[in-house]
Amino acid sequence: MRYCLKNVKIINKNATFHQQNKNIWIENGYITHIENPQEALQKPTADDKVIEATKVDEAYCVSIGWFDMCANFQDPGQESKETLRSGLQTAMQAGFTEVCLQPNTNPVVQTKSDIAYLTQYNASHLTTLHPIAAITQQTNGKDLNDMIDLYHAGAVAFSDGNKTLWNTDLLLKTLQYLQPLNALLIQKPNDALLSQFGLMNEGIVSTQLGMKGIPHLAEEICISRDIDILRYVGGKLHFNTISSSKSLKQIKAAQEEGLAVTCDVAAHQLCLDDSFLASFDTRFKVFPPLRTQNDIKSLWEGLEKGIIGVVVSDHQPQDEESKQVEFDMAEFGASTLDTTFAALYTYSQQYNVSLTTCIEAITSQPRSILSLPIPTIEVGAKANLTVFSPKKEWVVTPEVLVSNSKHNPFLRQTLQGKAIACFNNKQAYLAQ
Amino acid sequence: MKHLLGIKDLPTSQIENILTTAREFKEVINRPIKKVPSLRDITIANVFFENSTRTRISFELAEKRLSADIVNFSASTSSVKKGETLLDTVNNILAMKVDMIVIRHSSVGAPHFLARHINASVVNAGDGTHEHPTQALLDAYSVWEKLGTIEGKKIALIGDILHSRVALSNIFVFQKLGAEVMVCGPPTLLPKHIEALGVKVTTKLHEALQWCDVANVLRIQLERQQIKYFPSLREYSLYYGINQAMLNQLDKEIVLMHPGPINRGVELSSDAADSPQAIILDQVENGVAVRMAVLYLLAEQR
Repeated sequence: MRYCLKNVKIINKNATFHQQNKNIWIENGYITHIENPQEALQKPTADDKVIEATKVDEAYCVSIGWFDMCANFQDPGQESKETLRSGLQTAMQAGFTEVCLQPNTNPVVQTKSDIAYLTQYNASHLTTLHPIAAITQQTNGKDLNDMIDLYHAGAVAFSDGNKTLWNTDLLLKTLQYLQPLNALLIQKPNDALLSQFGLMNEGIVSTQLGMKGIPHLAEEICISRDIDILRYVGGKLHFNTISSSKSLKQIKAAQEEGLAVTCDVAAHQLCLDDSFLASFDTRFKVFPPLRTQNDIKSLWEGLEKGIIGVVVSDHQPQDEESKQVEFDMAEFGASTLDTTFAALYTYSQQYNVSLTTCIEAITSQPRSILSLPIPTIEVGAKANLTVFSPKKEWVVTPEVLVSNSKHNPFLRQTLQGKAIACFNNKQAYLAQ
Repeated sequence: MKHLLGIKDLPTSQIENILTTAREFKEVINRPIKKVPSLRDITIANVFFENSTRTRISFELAEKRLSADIVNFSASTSSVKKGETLLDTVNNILAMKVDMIVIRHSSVGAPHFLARHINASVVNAGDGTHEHPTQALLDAYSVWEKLGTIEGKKIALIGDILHSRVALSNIFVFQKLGAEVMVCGPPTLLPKHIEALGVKVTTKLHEALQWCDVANVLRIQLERQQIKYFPSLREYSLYYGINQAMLNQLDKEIVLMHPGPINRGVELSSDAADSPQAIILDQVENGVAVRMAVLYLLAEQR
């Protein structure tokens, strides 16, 4: 089967054809032709599948395949929340051709066989999974895993995932130990004592609701200390899901100093603030907690200026039993992969952040930080592409969500932007 | 008003309506025949997931004096952990055709969660460290009864503000009724952003007592403190406990309130708690009248 992406606008900052409309032909998993639509020599036959917007002013865009640097599929261990199969399907239909999985499964990702389990569908599925291996055994924060071995088995980075590596000596040693591999240490910045028993952002809303707050300080203090360690020892450090405007200032200063420090933000963190918690709706109980409008504004600025390179889904699917309970008993985390791009793009328009910036944050940037190959849109290149409609509006309902978990924070909202098709691993997905 | 979940979102007109209705019921419960048939067809479940004596009895009496049929359900939250969820428990009770649920729960927002998922009217009898609306209403009623007005009065809330649902509901109710509110306690028991609610803040007990017309002294909620907030009860009572000598030194006579149960010798000494300035037992009596008013008005809306 040949696929023709007809008159699609290429969004790929470093590509030759950035912002140009082209016809792109894909055959057997490779890009075979890129032509100007007005001078097209290739004509589709009845056997070819043409992907084209029905309205001229709603032309589709295409970028290299979308990449999610932080998701959880809860498999193995909590398959009632999501499975590898359902997670892969969600990723693909949401336009993501590559996804990094956090190590917080049960068992934790810490052996070669754990990695093999997560990558078992990589040869047969459109979406490729990249496991992040645990730094410490059972993410206990004490005993190091065999990281060189795990790296060669396919771990793309090291992290204790949702748990913060709090032991300063161990953090220092890990940063050292990973240097010969040029591997990335990913840290979820949080001081577990300052945030203990916290349920939401500490602020005016938490005061009104009588809820124990999680102060910004819990995140900032960890970032500050980790940057000091990085400065002392070297290595590559990436902060996962930052939420506070002051965190951003600290990371900016460290970047200007020349330290190899990067960070990401969850898409929902750029969209929703803590006022949503007033309804005690557990869909908004996430970690880090939804912060304030002031933080959101700073995070968008950070994204525009490149201090934040990456936007992630931070997909943490939960089942009914974990969410349909009293607020303090509900698990942290929301099902977000279905809506990651749409949320990012919908809200980016309020903050005047360009589509190109949004796309970079889910394509080239994460791959570059992880030192993974960056696909290209050139004749002869493997097709790792996502076709999307920035104009398409859709209402988020449980029925349209692919994830097994329906606890999506954007439920009942109308979002703009949707994946239309994606290509990877010689396979194609076309939305109905 | 279908539910009474909190004071924060309750319009001032409805608060005033509850208070004036409560005045009528207070007259009723002081008659030789204390019972009226207003809720004869209504069944109310008192579902208490947290220990309570005063509030439960107060609600029960209010219900009985309105001629409602009642069932009581008490369980510790730990039994929820054993299996049945809150929603299942309440739905099971509702399946037996119950019209109203009075719920106390250690989780913030538990009544709101129920109100979203069930058909019956929900009355919040205290949810974790969030709100205790009927307590705030009876406190407001008691001040109104004692001083004739609430507008312009200065109300000091003293003690464990961080863990007190009474504090939060009191702040909302007194502000809505035109009073000024100050909170006073050791810094570790004051929420960091409390000033944003428009209250004055002090850590000096004497300052709060000098300023106020009414001192509402709150319980030290040891059971709700998951970690240490102050070194010892001894030190707390020395610096934040109120006794009659302190009250005598003030240049005016202030009204002393306490939502009960009192930790005698901790936040209040016995001589202060039993002094004529204290309206603590009036609060208890008014509690029944105010709860009758709330239940009556909710039933009216059904």
